Amino acid sequence: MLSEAITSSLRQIGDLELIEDSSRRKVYESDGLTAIAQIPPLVGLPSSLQALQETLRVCHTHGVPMVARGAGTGLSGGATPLADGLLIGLAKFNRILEIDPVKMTARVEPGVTNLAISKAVASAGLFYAPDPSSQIACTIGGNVAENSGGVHCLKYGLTLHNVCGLKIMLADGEVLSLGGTGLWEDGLDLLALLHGSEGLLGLVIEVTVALRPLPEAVTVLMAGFRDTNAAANAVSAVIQAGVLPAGLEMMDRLAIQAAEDFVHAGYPLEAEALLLCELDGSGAEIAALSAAVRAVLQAAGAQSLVEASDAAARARLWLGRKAAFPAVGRIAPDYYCMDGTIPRRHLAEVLAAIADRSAHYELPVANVFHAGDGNLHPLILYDANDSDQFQRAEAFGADVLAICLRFGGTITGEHGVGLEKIDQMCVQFSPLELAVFHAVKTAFDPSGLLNPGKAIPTLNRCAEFGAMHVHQGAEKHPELPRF
Amino acid sequence: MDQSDALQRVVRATTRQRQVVQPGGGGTKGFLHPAAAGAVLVSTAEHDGILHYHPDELVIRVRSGTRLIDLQQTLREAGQYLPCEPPSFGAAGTVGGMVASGLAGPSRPYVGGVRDYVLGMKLILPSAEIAAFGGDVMKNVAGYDITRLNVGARGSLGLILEVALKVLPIPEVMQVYGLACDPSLAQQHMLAQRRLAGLSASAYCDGALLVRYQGSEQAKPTFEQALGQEFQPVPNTGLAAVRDLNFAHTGHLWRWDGAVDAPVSDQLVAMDWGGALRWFASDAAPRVPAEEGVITWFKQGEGVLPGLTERADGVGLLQQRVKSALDPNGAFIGYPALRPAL
Repeated sequence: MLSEAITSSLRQIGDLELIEDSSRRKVYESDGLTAIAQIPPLVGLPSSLQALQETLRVCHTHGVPMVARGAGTGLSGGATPLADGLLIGLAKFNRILEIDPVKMTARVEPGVTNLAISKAVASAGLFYAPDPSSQIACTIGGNVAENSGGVHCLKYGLTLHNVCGLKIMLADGEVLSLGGTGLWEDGLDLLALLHGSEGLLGLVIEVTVALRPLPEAVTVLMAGFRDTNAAANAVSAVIQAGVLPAGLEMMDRLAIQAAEDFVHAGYPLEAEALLLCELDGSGAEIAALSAAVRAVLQAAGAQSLVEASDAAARARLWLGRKAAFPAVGRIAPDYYCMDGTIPRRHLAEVLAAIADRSAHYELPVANVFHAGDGNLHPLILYDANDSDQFQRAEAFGADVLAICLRFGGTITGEHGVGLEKIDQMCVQFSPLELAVFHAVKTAFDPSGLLNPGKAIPTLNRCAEFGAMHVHQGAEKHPELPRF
Repeated sequence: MDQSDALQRVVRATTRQRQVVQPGGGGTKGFLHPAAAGAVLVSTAEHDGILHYHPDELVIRVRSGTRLIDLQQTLREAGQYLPCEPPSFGAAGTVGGMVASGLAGPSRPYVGGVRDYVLGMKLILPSAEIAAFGGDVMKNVAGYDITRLNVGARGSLGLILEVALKVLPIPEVMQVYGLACDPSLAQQHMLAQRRLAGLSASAYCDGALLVRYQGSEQAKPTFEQALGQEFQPVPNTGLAAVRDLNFAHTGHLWRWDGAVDAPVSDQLVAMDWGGALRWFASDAAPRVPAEEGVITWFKQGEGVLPGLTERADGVGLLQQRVKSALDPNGAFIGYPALRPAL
C-alpha cells in the first residue's frame, strides 16, 4: 500500500487520472505474462508530460518505486506491478506529433501503437519496419523498452536499428534527448543503451522512428518439408545463395496444424516443417529473385511450394504465422512461450533436445521459429489449473533456456527478461557481468526506483537461485566462486 | 594469436601503478585521442585471429587486433562484406579500432553503422577482469546492451578483446554515379533522391555529388532512369576519399552532424550520409545554428587549437556518470567529446 500522504500528493496533480478503486486496479495486475499477477496499490494515468514529471518527482521524493506500462502486451513480466509501487500507464500519450516525409522520420508519443505508425505514414509511401506479432496493440514505448523484433528483423533489424531519437524522463523527472537530428552523437551511445533496458533506466516519453520507403514489390514463398532438418538446411542455402529475405520463418508440425485449424491459411498439413520466405524489392528484380529462391528451396528438398504475390494472398499466408500463439492457445488451456536465440547451425540438436524434454515432462511443445535470425519460440502446452502441470511447464521452460545457453545462445531474443527469466540471468552472466549492469543502473537511477526487481537479478538472488554461470556455451565452471 | 592473458597482466599492472590505460590497435586513428598525456598505450595489435566464421549464419567472431583488411579479405572470399564500410586510415587499422571509434562509412543512413552490426564483445574491464556481453546471435536482449555502449566509446570503458559481427552478402552491383555541381545543388539532389530504391551512398566532395546504387543487375536501369542522364558512372574512389577524409583541406577538421535539410554552408569541404554529416576545415570553429546540428572537433590541423570544452549538457553529464560508474577509479582514459568553447 502507498501511504495516504503520497496518494494525496498525487491527487493534487492536474492531468493525472488516479485509479484507486480495487476492481479497476485489477485490470493492471499483469502484462502478457499472466502467470504472475499483482494488483497494484495505485495506478496513475498522466495525460501531459508535466503531470508525468510531477508524478515522478512525488515518487522520487518519497522513495516510491514505479513501473511504467504501455499496452501490457509484454511477455516477460516487465510491466508486472509491484505490491508497494505506483503503476504508471503511458497509454494516454498516443499522439503522432510529426511526420517528416523528406527526412523519412516520425516523431511519436510512447503510447502510439506499432501498427498505427505504419498506417499513418503509408499514404506518404513509407513504413516502420519492426513488426512484433502484437503490433496491433503494443506501443512504441514498450517496443523501445524491450528492443522488440518481429518477422522482418533479418533484413530490417530490431527496434534499436529503426529508432533515431528518444526523449526520456529519468526517475527524478529530468528530461533528456538522445540522438534526434543527426545520425551520430558525440560521447557514449546512450540511445543504444536505452533499447531493451526494460524500463529500469528511464521512461520513454517520445520516440523518433526512422521510416523506409514501401517496397515496390513483395512476394511470399511457402515451402513444406519432410523434416525440420531439411527446412533448417534450406534456410542456410537461401542465405548462402546471397539472398537477404525480408522475413524467413519456420513452423513445426504442431504449430502448422494449430495455425491451420485456427485461420485456414492453406498450410501443408502433411509437412513436418514449413518455411515462409518473404522477398521484397523493385518490380524489375522480384521475379528473378523469386525464381532463384524457388530453385534453392526445391534443391533443398521442398515437397510443396506455393507463392503469394498479391497483398490478400500474402496476408493469408502470414496470418497463420502471426496468429500462431493464439492458435496454440486454442489447443491447450495454457501455453508458456519461450524466446531463446541460438546459432542456427545447432537447430537440429536444439530441437532434438527440446523434444527429449517434452517427452520427459510429458508436455507437448509447438515450435515457431524466426529462422533467419535464430530466434526460437517453443510454446509449451499445459493446464495452469493443474499445479503439477504448471510446475512441469516451468521446469521445462528453464531446461529450454539452459539448452539455448549450452549451444552458445541467449535466454531471450526479443521478449525481454522481466520477472520471467530473471533467475536464468544468473546462468547466462557471471557475477562480474551482473555488477556491470548494476553500475549502469546506478548512473541512471541511483535510488533504484524504476522497475526494481526486474531484468537484472541481484547477486543475492543468484546465490539463492544457486545456478552456476554457463560461460559461452561451455559446461559449468567449478572454479567459479559461489557467493 | 591469443594475447588475452598478457593484455590482462599489462592492464592490471598499469592500473596498480595508478597509471591510466589507453587501449590502442594499429595506431591509425590516434588523432582521435590527442590529449591523453601520461596514459600508457596498451596495444591489441598482436591479439589477432578469426575465432569462427559461419557464412550461412552471417556471423563472424574475431580478436580485436585482427587487421580490418584481413577481415575484409576473409569475408570477400565467402562473398560477404562489412556493411558499415568503416574508413581506412592505413593498412594497420584493426577491428578493435573500428569498433572503439564507431566510425562508419557512406552507407550509414541506408544500411547502418558500426553499432548496427556488432553482436557481442569480450573485453577487459577497468577492474582488469574479463567479461563478455551480447553473443554470436542476431537477437539478444538479456541484460543492458553493454556491447553497443562500447561501440564508439573510444576505449574509455574497457579494452576490447573479441568482437562478434553481423555480415551480409556482397550486393551483385555497387555502382557510383557523379555529377559536377555546387554544394547547394548537391543538397537539392540529395533530398530529392532519398527514396530511390537501391540508394546506398550520397556524398559530396571536390565539386562533385557522388551517388551509389547497390542491388541487383535487373533493378539498375530503374535506378539510372530515376537518377537522370546528367549523372555519369564514375569509379568508387571518390566515395572512399570522403570516407577516409582524403580530400584537400587546411586547418583543423570539424564534423557537423545534423538534419539533412539544414541549409548548407559554402564553407563545408565535404558532405556524406545524404547531407547528415558535413566536414568543415578551418582554424576557428565554424559557426552554424545549434538547432540544426552539432559541431565537434575531429582532427588537428597545422594551427593552434581554439578553445574546446567537454560536452556539459544533461546528456553529457549522464555520459560522464555512466563512465564513472563503470570505471570508478578512472583506470582508463576518458572520452573527450570536444566541442568549440562559446
